[in-house]
Amino acid sequence: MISKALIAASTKPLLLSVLKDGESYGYQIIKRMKVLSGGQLEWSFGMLYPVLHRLEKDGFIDSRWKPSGQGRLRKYYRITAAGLRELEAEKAQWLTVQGVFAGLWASSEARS
Amino acid sequence: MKKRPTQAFDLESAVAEWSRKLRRSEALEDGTIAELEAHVRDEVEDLIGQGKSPGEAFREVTASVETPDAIGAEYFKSDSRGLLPTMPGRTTGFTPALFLNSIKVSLRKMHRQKWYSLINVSGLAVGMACSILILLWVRNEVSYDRFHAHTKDIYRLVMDDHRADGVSTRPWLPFPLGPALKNEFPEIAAVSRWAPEDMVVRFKDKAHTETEFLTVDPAFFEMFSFPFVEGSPARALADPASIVIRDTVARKYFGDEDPMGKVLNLSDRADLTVSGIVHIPDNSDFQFDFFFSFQAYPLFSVNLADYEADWKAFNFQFYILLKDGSSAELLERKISGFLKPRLPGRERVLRLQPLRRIHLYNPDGTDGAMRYVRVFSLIAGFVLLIACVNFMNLATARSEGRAREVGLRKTLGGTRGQLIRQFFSESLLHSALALGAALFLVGLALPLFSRITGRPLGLDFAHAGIAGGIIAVALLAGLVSGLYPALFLSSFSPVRIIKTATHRGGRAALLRKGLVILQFTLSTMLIIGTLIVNSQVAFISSRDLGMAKDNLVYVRMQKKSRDSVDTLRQELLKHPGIAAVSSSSQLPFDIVSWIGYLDWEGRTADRQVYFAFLSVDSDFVRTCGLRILSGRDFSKDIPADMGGFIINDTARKQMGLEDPVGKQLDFLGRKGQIVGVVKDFSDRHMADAVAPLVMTMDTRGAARSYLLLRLQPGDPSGALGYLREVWGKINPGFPCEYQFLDESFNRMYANEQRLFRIFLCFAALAVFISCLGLVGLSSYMAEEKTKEIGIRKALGASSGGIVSLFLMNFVKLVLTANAIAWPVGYFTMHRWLQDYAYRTSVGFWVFALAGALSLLMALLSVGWQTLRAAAANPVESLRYE
Repeated sequence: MISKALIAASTKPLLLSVLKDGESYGYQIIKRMKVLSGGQLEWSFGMLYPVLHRLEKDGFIDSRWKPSGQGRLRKYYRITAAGLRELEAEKAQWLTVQGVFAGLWASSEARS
Repeated sequence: MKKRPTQAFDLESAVAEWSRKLRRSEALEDGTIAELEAHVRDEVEDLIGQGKSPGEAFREVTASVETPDAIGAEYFKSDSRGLLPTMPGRTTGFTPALFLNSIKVSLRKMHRQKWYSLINVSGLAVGMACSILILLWVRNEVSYDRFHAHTKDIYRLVMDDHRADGVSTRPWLPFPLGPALKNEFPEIAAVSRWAPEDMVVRFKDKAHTETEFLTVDPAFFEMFSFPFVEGSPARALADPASIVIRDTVARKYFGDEDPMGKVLNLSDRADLTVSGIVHIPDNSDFQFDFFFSFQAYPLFSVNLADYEADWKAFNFQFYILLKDGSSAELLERKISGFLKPRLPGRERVLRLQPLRRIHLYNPDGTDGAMRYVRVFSLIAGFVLLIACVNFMNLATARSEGRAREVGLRKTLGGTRGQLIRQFFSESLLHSALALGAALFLVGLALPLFSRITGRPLGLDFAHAGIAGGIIAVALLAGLVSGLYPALFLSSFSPVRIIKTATHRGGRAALLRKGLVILQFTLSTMLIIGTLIVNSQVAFISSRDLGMAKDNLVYVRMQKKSRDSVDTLRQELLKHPGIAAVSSSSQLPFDIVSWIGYLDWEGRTADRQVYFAFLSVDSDFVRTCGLRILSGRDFSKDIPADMGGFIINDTARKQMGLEDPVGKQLDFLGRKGQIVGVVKDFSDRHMADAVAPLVMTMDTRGAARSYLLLRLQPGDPSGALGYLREVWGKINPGFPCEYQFLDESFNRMYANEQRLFRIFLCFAALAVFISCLGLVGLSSYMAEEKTKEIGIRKALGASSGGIVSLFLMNFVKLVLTANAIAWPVGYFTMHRWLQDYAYRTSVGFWVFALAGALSLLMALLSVGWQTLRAAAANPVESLRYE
């Protein structure tokens, strides 16, 4: 399982990344995350929706109500230009961290 | 039956219910909720697709979701970017600032609404003061003789006496029983016999007739833990010639001298040396002043051996100390038949009465004083409840004004929990203030209350029970009175308040009416109780006693002064103010001796009469003012009268004789003629029926325990001065302590008098507090209906019409209360009256009067407010419409 702190830090870039692939709604996002992480990342909706809310307020995503197949309304989220920029910045940070880890772990493995 | 969840479960309504719950959280907007709902539907659909039932799917989805509050908090966190630590209104636990705010607001409220606060606080204060007084009394009652180290192991022996006319249980038993029991049953650690006496005590030139004498066995002070001021409990009565005196009488005889080792003379018969000074606490039933041992009997020229062989004189009480760990039930079973072989005849069963039950229960286990403990506790509860009702009523009545406050607080994020705390802190603050006032009132009333109850009560804060009880009373009053406002006012929805501007709870009005009815039901019941107790007391004191108790004086005689009765009589009758003189073995209104079943001439086998008896001197009937129905009084000029009898009318009836005069009566072997029949007189407490009584003429020893003097009506001082003078000549050294019989008679009914006064006090207070509430309520209503009154008047209603309209509201409530109080009061008081063999009839006037009183008080309290409101000029009240 992934720690709470890591989930909190990663939710925003993960969401922005998912929405970069195209419009989606909450339940679909949760399912997608579950598949992608091999079941390791299970977001509760009590946590997901407030974050979506917040990202929308910050202008990184926007939303609209759209009828689904069964004629029910769903709220779909879409990434905005600001969101894309934010994602790039996040991506740079995550890659830096990843790079550091890769280097550290490769050298420590080599030594042992 | 098997459950069929698929049919029972309705997904739509489940989802609707779920989202309704979400709506309670202030942080969730409608759009947010719709999104969450859409999510739930999606996920449920998916799960159903995987083969789950709708019910299972729904439960699985919603179970994984936090509570609405948690979701709301999550939204709040992301919305506020963590700037605020918690969502407004989501404060949990204690917040000092808010608590101070509660107090501040409460104080401000009290300041602004002085009138209401005054009614609330004074009503609560009076109610609490009542409760505290009664609490003190109750605590005192239940503390009797609990202070002994061995309290739980001490028992009193009582005997069930199976007589032809029923079982009577008494603690009086024959002398040899104690040692016999102790020899036979090893589980008995100690036995002490106990017999009251009265004697003249003399020390140097001081002499007094003392009635609080107790003869005991030396083990007495080891069994009971009365603290000794001087001397040792174990050794005090070891020497037969010793006497233990109570600390309070030590001063009376010895002043500042040390009493230890001083010699007291008792009735000129024996000298005993003071060997100990004992303190008897107020909450003990052993309120005696002098204690000496049965072993001292020989010093009084009494042969102890006679007593030790006498199984027939039931004149002693027995206290038994059980060894640690012995079972009282087991011992009781073993001793129950102990008297049978020693006293053949009817069945007499020995039982044990625990020491701690003696004060509150009768020997047969029925309620004694316990009944009053129950009744008064109930009354205290009533009065307190009535006071709390005032608070509730005024608080809910004013809810309209407070609704805006509630709305505002809620809008600003105040939670219901906080509002509840706010209201409780208000009621608790009121009750804390009321407690202060109540303690002040208790301090003022305590001396009076002690006098009324006849108990020296004190407000001892150091006592954990008292302090705890008082705090409990205040807390209880605060919580009960805050309960409804807290729960009701806090439930107001802010939207509704702001939209409609006013809020009138029909439910609250109904509850107010109910509470007013409750108050008046309780008050009216107390009035009914007071009236009936009063009428019973009046009935007792005005009842034809068959005896002229006025102008009758008696002197308690001592063994040595008894022989002087004939001389005294001769001398006393010389005074014109003294009409008649006689003597008797007991006071005629309190005959406690029973002679048993007697035989008489012409008795049929089915007539069994258990007689009470009294030894009297000649002229007894005349002296006491009894009425002769047939025959005559005893006369000293007719020698045969010494073997004759006078009976009362009850005896005559029970014997089944038309004209008993001249018939032979067999008085335990002594045969004689019945010379007279007297009309029944009140020979014992009126709780008990007049007993069949036989009087014998006797001039020896104990037959002359009381010298009786009939004085001429008018100023008795001459006759009494003469009595003292004659007495001093004939009985020098014996104090002449006379008493008026009617005073002693009235003392016998002190309990009823006391009950009446307490009832009167509490009934008056209950009515007062109820009316106080009505004053508050009516002034509120008058205020609230100012416009209604204005419109009515503008449309032509008269002031009188308006007043009667408003009064009718309250009249209806009071009448309903009466309808409840009458039957309840009737049955309760009817049961109380059953304890009296002679009782007043409960007339309708009692209820009518109680009803009229409660109505009158209610109208008076409501009236002036209503009058003022009705008299107002409609222009004033309607000007701004």
